[in-house]
Amino acid sequence: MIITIGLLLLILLGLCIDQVAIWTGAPLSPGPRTAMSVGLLVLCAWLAGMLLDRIRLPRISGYLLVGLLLGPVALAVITQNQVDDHLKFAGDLAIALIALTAGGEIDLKWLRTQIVRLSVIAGVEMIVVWILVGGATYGILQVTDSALPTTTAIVLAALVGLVAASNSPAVVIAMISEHRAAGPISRTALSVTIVKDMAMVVLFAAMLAIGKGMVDPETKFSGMFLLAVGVQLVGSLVVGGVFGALMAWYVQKIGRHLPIFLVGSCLLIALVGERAFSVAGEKVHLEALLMALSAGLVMRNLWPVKTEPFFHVVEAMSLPIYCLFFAVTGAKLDVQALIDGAMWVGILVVVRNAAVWGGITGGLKLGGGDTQGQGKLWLAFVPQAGVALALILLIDHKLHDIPGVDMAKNLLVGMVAVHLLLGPIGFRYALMQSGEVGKQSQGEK
Amino acid sequence: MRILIGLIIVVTLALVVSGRQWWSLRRTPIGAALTTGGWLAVAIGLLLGPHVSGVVQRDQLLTLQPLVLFCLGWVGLMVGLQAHRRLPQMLPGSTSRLALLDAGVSVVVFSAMALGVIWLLSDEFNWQWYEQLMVAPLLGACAIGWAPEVRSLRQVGTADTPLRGLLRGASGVGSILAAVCYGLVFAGAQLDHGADNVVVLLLIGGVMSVAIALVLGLMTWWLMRIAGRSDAEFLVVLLGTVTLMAGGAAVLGYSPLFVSLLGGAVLANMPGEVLTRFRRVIIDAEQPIAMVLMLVAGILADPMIGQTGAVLVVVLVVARMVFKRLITHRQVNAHAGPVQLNSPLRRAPMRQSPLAIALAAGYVMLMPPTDAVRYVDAGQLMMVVILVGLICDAVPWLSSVAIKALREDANPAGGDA
Repeated sequence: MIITIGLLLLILLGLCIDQVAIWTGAPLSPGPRTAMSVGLLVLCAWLAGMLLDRIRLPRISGYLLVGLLLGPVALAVITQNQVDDHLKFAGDLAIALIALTAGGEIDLKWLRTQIVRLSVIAGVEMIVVWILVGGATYGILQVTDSALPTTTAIVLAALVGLVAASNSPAVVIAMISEHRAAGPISRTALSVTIVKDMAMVVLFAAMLAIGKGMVDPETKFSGMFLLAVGVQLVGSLVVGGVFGALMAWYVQKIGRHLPIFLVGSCLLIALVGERAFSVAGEKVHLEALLMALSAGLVMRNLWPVKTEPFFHVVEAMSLPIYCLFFAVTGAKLDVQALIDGAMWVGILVVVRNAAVWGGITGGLKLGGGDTQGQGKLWLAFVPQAGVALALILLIDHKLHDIPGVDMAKNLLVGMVAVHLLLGPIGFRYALMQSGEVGKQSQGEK
Repeated sequence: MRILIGLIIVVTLALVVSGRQWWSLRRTPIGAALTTGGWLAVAIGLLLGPHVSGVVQRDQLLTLQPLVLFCLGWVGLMVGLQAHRRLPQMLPGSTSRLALLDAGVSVVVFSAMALGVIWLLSDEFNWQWYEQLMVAPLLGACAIGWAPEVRSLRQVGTADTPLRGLLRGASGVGSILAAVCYGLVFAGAQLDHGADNVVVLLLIGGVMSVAIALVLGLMTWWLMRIAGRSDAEFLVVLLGTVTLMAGGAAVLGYSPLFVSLLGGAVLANMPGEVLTRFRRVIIDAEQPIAMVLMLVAGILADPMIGQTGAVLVVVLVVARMVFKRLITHRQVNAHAGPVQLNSPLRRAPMRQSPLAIALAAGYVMLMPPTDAVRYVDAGQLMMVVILVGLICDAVPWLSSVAIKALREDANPAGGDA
């Protein structure tokens, strides 16, 4: 009750400041509003997370709901402009931090022995989801717009299928961290997610290039893009490794103000990731997620003892950044798209969940190894968030003049919204059922 | 992209200048004067800024507003946490009296002098009263108090503890008074002076500022209790409340530093042990936060201060040398004890408080572009405050070096020990 009152009081305070500022005609500048929004989102998300935790729901769902409530869809304390522009840094920061955490969790010795198995699980799941969701999308596009050319429908369906195959590294890491979970499900979920994410970089770039070449006669498909994608992937890992070595040096030699150093490093990684450069005539940019992942991996595996204080800071800093990131993600949710295409979105959600279950179950059998107790592993791959939303933006950006792209985008946004809101609940259930919650403190990794 | 570039430059440099090696510079007198005053950070900022190398452009700076707000909120909270209800009893009466006397005289004298210079050197006379009042009281607020650092002015072998205590105590109280004064100046400057109900708007905003500070101060205390011993939850409360206090105040057009100060004062007077850790973390991060503000100040400063700016610097420096000595003369003599008459410690009040740079940076950074300060441009205003601080810092230090050299010449074998 007290937490609820506190949460309501904070929301009320935000609304009051907003209204008084409008009424008094206080000079409107984006900087102060951004600062206020950050503070409000972090505190409200934290309280909402605690509230949901009391009723045995994931804290992340609380963060998302607060974003939805304060965002442009509901109370509009956080405006669309802020979500799209001024609060973008929260996403950049969170992606780098999440990947650093993930890299720090990976034990290279274990990964070397498991890489084939993990690749099989990831590969089978991606293929099954891609085919089934892509097929369903093709059907929906044909039904809703009979005039849509077949090639266009195939390209769009293939892209929707691929986006559906992605899952959220952010949610996986945040849920494992929140529940201090350790065990086969947590470890496999994290590793497969990372393998999938690396594959997604290559596959999505390839598919978008091929698709654009097929539907847009003015765009010639060039084989050089494969080289560019390779450079992007390898370059990200190498540059990330260098970052990791430099960060380890700072931690060992200077070792002061680690929280500020962490935030600065994450922002630097995000900045390098944003810079585009040309390889063989193709515009590419390094992946912030892969760079940070590689940096975390290098630090943890090459200097495990000396970088320990840094990872303690990463752990402590995670909560405020998760609160902000997921609240901003919640504010981004396009509920209207979900409502408008509720029936079609519902069909896609059912198909995707069935495909994820089938893909993971099949992958576990084909991949071999001990599958006991991993029956609920598939629930880890249901949540979707930032990666999927970023891919949707890319589709919209590259194919915005293609007929049918709006429908495909709405389907994806609706599907991601459902999986973002409900996915963490399922994953929490899987972690609870597997008995892995709270095991991290016992040193199991 | 731009926000990231700006943030990274500022954060990296702040880390470098607050690093261990940099910190070790404080062991020497000149190092103490340079690092504690933050002049090296200001110089780096100046070199990076739009007026010198142009690495950081003016529009990039605007994207740093949230970071500057956060730093101002942090500083305000740090100052406010000193304002415990028992502070007047804890401090000797002489300290409070000195701080109050200094604040009152500084605001009146320095504001009047700044106003006089701007008035005399302005070619146009059709300006409104509030346009003059935008710059002058700000310079008055910046003149309150002095730098708390006394290490660089200490004489080896002299027992100057009572005087050091007085100077440091009065400097702390002076910071609170400067932030309060700045809050009023900031609020006045942000108002739409053409509106009919200026006084009503000022009152409403003032009440809202106090209300935000009160609500968030109480809420921070309560949230701290909920967070318990968890480091992560503690960080959530700390970061969330500082940004909300500072951002909320700035959205309403009120000083983020002042509102955070009030919030800090509310917190300081709450019962329980939960604030011990809060206070420790706030003070631990003082160095990087101060360095960010110093860097931003350097970036904002325009070295071409013009005739008005140059005269302002001279007048304010001379005024500081004369008036601070007059204001503090009696109290300093009463507390000097064994301190010699020519001790550099006696000249400590001449040095400008580092808070003045934060006040000016916050003012310049958050001023709406349409209300750009006339006659003294925003960048020039920043430079004036920096130069006054730098010159006033250098004079006592140079005099202490000169005295030491003279003594060594007079007594080459024994030194001054």
